[in-house]
Amino acid sequence: MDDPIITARDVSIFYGDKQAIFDVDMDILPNKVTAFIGPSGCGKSTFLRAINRMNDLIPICRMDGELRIGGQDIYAPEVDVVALRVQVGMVFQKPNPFPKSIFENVAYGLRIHKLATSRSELEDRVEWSLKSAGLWDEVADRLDQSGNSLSGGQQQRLCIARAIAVEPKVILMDEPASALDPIATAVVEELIDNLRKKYTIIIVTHSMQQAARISQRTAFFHLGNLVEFGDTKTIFTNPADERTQNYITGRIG
Amino acid sequence: MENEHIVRRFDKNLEKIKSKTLEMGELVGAQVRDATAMWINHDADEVARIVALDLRVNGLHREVYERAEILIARRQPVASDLRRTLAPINIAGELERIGDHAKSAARRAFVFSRNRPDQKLFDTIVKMSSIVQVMLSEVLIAYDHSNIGQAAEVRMQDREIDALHQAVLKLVISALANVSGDEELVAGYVHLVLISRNLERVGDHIVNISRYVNQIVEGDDLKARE
Amino acid sequence: MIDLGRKAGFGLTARNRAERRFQWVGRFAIGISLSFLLVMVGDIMITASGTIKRTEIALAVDLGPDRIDPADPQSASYGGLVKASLRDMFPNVTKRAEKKRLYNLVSPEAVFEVARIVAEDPGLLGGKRQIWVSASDDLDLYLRGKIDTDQPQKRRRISDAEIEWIDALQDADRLRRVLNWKFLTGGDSREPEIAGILSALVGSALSLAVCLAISFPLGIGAAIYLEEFAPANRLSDLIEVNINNLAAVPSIVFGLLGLAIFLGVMGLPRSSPLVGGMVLALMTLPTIIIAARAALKSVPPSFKEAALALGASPVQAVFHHSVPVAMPGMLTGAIVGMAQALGETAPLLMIGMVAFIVDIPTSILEPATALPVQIFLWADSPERAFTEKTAAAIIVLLIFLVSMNLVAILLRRKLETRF
Repeated sequence: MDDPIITARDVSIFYGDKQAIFDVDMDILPNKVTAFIGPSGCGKSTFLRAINRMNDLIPICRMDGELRIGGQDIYAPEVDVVALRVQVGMVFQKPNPFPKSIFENVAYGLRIHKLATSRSELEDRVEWSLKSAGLWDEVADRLDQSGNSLSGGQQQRLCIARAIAVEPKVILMDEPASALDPIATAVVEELIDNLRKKYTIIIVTHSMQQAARISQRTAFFHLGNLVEFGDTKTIFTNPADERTQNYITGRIG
Repeated sequence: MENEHIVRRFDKNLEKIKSKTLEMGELVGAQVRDATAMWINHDADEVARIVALDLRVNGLHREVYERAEILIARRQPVASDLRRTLAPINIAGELERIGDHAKSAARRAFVFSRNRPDQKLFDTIVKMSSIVQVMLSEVLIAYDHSNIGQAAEVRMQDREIDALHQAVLKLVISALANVSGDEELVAGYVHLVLISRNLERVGDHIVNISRYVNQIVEGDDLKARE
Repeated sequence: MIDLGRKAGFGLTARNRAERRFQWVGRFAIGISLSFLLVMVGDIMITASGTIKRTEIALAVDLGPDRIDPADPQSASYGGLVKASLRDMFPNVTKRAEKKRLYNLVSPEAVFEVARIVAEDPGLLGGKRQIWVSASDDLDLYLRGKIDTDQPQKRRRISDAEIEWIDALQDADRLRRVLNWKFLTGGDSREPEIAGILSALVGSALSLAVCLAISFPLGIGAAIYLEEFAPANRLSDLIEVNINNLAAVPSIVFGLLGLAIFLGVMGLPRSSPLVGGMVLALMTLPTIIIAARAALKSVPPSFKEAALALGASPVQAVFHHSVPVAMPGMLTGAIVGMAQALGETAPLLMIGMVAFIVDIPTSILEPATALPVQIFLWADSPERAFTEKTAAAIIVLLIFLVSMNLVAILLRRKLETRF
């Protein structure tokens, strides 16, 4: 088995005086889809956002413990948050393409990080990203149209293309399919399954079924605690903890 | 079934369950075939091997069950997907019992090594076995290709097995009337009946499998309708 | 039994009545305000209609060489020429007082008009020529029937003798009414018949340009910093409260501030559009800041979040995504502020933009006046003809305002991105 790419040790997260995450230890394996499930307010999104330091944007949010990606402590003072976020991309709950053209949406990350030296290189990388996101065939002839002209599922795949354009190692997804219809959801899930060959994917989802479908590893959070973390198969057929059992069978909210 | 799922892994999972079930069917078919060979040339070691195959059959049975279980837990199959997930559990169960019958028939082969009761009876039994083997391979093909026509044909063939079994019973009853006193010969006939009974049961299990094939495609339970 | 009719209970009848009542009250309120607006605009339009045309008199001016030296036409006494031509037309006017009245039929400007015509076309020299010159405001008013001739002579602006002359002129086809382009192309004047609005218009435009150049970048910049970057602490709260309060400060206070600082301390030129624009900028800044902050607040945070998650720095995220989306809203705020500034009089009075300006200003350092100040000045003038000018100036101001808003709407349309 591979070494973990992300290791969390004694991670606690606070919003002001309120503790949202309690002493979480977790090893996330590369090239696997890891799903975070749990009831609303259980801290799964908070923990996810700690991984690319999006929590920094909330002034009252504070973190204890140690979070390492590829062995490096991401909260160390010498770590530049921009460099971190190039390695750890993120896709949000609501598809949020920029109000720009499809091309510019994907090219944005490449432009700000100066990852393409020429126009043709930029175009190549945009095409590659859109192909990887399974969107190229649908948008190849209308790259200059607004990203908002796409359907919800296409917009979400555009956001995924935008995230992978800068070639991160890890992609965080915060309920990426919760605003999509079942078919668009299935398309995104299939995409996620393909992407894990190249990326490590961590996905927060409200839908246990989705976690069961797409993940290899599942973490169940409850009231800020990591209750159970293991193979998705085991979690969904024979969970060890009674709280997990109750949650996945629909016995506690 | 012609159309692929958007999530291709779903199709792979379903395909794997089917291929494991078919693998189990082939193994069981080999068991029946090899057991039949034992009646002609008894070989204690070979019998032991055939009996030992049961472990692999049971292992495959468990694997089919677990794969179906995980698929249900992870993908919540519905409609035809649900039938394609549930039916293999039952088909594997039927196959497992066919294996048990083959095992039991193989064990009885020692009877014929000492004395072969009646050539006509013996030929009938071998014929039953070969019909059952054809039925099994056909029902597995029908399952593989979701061919309900072929499955229905298999069910028709079972009548022949039933008729042969009745014929064996009749022959044995009249033969036993003549040989009372020879304990060893009586025992031979009894085992012969039991083998015939084994093959008849195998035929019934194959019919059940063909009904499950029909159920996968059509969605209704033939047994309940008949 | 299920009853879905009107008498099904739940107080339905009363609720439906309340519904209708409210709708009618609303329609009534809108109707009242619309009719007020209509009456106001209509009244102004009718009053202003007098300025559309002005009256001219045809004078037979003797441009012979004995009167004008062909070598130096500008040295001649054009006043004498105009007077002479009037006397020629009415030879029986002999008394001094009567002559003075006669001369008053033409505008004092007529002298300069003749001089200009001669200067432009020296070929006219050498004989009697018919030249159209502006008539006086009183003649104009009389022709349009605005003077009540039933009243005793002493109580009206025009005497019986003058009426006789005017009638004679009219019979001789020596009066005509022409479109009053001068109103739009000329500067202010003591004489209503030739007073124009252009100097005030240019003054207003220059002041607004200065105001926009100062307040827009400053206001938008302040708003972006306060909304997106300023740490949330006591100081930010204090600043926010003060900006909101400043928006409510009477504008004359800003005028006093401008007087004390821009004129008193900095010594900038008095009455100039530069100082006017700076004072107006002070006044519009809070409006622009508040509107720009509201526009930034309404930008979905998801854009900024997405950019930050891609590794954009906060400044990149704000300037690449939040600001472009908020720009239409910011522009609207700026235009509202500009419109306010356009209509402002009080602070301009304080810094001396109330001066009588005939020349059209060509730079922001020259003395100028502004449209609302001009309106105020004309409304204050005793001559009756200025009433019409006032109304016309108000219409010019309104057109200025409407076209500014139009530009704003067009800009919005162009910039607006749907998300």
